[in-house]
Amino acid sequence: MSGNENSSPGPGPRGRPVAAAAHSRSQRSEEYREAQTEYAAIRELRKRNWLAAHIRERRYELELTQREVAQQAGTSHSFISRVEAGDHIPTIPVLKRILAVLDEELLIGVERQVPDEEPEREVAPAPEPAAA
Amino acid sequence: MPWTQAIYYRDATNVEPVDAFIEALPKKRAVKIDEFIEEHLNGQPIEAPPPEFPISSQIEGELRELRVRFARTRYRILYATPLRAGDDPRYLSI
Repeated sequence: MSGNENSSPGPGPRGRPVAAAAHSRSQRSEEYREAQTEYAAIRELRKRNWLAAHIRERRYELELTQREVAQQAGTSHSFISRVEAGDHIPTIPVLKRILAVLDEELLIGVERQVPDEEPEREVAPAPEPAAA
Repeated sequence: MPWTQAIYYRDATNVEPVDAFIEALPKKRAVKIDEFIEEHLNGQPIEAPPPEFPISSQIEGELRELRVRFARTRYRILYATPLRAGDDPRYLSI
């Protein structure tokens, strides 16, 4: 709860607070509580490493294991584990492969500050590595 | 300072359709939606602007949608700010 009332507004077109219904679901389901724990960990991780949190959340929702992502991305289980822990930042080519496994495409963006105007942004697909 | 609170719309048969929808979802998806509502609709100052796109977008008038992505699915949770003069401005009906 975040500073809001927890009491029902009463009869009529207004039903229960969503937070009260969520609390009830949590009380009734261990599976729900486990998912709450995972999302809480992802929220904490996002505060210090957005990329790690994004990969962890996406993999969790697609129901892939770290080992499956590693195999499909051509890297190791321990590497994915370190990336998700926020202990390692992958190179652009490896990140492209990880995101491709997660059905996403890596874009590269830059932003320039312009006096008295909105910042200018450019976003483009990440480059392919040069052929050997 | 008054804060917003998301509440379910309850129909004439005493059913809260969105709650019933969330209740029937797999638990991970229900948690994602419940926590998205908690993060973006609950506990906001009543004068605060609505969450920006792609978190939410306007449908028509006071009707908006909260856009929750889970894996390859996009859930669109419709909600409304108070529609009539005199309604309590804290409550967002879902």
